[in-house]
Amino acid sequence: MEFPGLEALVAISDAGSLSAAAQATGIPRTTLARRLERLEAELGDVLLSRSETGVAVTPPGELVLEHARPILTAYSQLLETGRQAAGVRAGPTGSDPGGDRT
Amino acid sequence: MRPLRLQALLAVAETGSIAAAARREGTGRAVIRRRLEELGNAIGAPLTTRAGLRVELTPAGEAIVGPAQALIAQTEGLRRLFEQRDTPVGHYRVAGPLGLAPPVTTRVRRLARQVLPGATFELITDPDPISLLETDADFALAFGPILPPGPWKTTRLITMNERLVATPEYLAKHGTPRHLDDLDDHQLVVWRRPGHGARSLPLSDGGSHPVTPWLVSNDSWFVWNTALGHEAICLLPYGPLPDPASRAELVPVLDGVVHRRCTLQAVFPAGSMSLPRLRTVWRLVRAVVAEF
Repeated sequence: MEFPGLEALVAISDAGSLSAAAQATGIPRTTLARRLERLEAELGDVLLSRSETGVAVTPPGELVLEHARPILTAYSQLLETGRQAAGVRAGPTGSDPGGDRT
Repeated sequence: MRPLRLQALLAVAETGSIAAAARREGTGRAVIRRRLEELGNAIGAPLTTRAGLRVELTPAGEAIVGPAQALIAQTEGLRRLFEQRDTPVGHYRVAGPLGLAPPVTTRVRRLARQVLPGATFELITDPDPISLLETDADFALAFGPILPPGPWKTTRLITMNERLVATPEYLAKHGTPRHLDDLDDHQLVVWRRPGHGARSLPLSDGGSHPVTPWLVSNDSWFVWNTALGHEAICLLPYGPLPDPASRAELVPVLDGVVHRRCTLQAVFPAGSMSLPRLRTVWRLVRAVVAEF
């Protein structure tokens, strides 16, 4: 996972809430929330507005989402390109590095 | 958001050594090795191999150099998009006092459009708007000049006058007070400014005049509506840009006698100045207000 913040943003906005995103991805909601907060701090803007009923994507969040989806798709393709070059059939389960470390 | 593992791969590809890559990335060799290993694990194959003193890319490593360059450029583009914005376009949660009356809200809305033309807002009203800072609101609008102690950065938005007003209809029916003591014969409704009592009227000479209000409220819009309903003489904050309709309907009472300055301030948590989106708002608000 090279883009944990972008993945968290996409997952939460797609699922509609932190809890639903945690269920869909298998990533604890505290981890998702932390990754999103880091991305927001890095970009200096609120990307999702939180409420008791769920989340809503803010205008800057929409802007990031427009870029995040192509970036994540390109990253998946990059991994696949590497696998094909190495003659590896599929990505090893669970070996994708956690994105919180640098 | 920096793709550190992809950057490590490019650094090794371009320098041919872990040590040089570490220097270029401003980190240690162990970190570069770990990043390469993590990326290799995601693919399922090593990306580098030793060739004497140099490090060479494996076929998998070679294959992803081009896509990695493109991906790094994509993420840098997104980052620059945010860094280069000189006008915030975000969503701001603003805590405001209860019952801001039309002359004040008109001015605040104009300021918001001028300072943040691309932004959207949520206004959350509360008797103590400052209490919402750092949890529910990005910044607060609060009556001042005296604020609760705290690590705040404040700037004055509007200077208002607290004064007595009534409708011509009310005064025609109940008479126009000429002296402070005449107020004893009237229904008096008083806006209680945060941090102040409501049992005395502020006087222009700095003194005060004791009164027994019929009704006290911390909601200035409620007091405003009471005045417009021809029900009472009301003490309320009167802004510099009255709503034209309201101005025609309300007239000052004991003008020049009962009076106190009051300000509406924008209050930011001092710690929020490290966030570009709030630092920019702070700077823009101060610049615009200074022009008035």
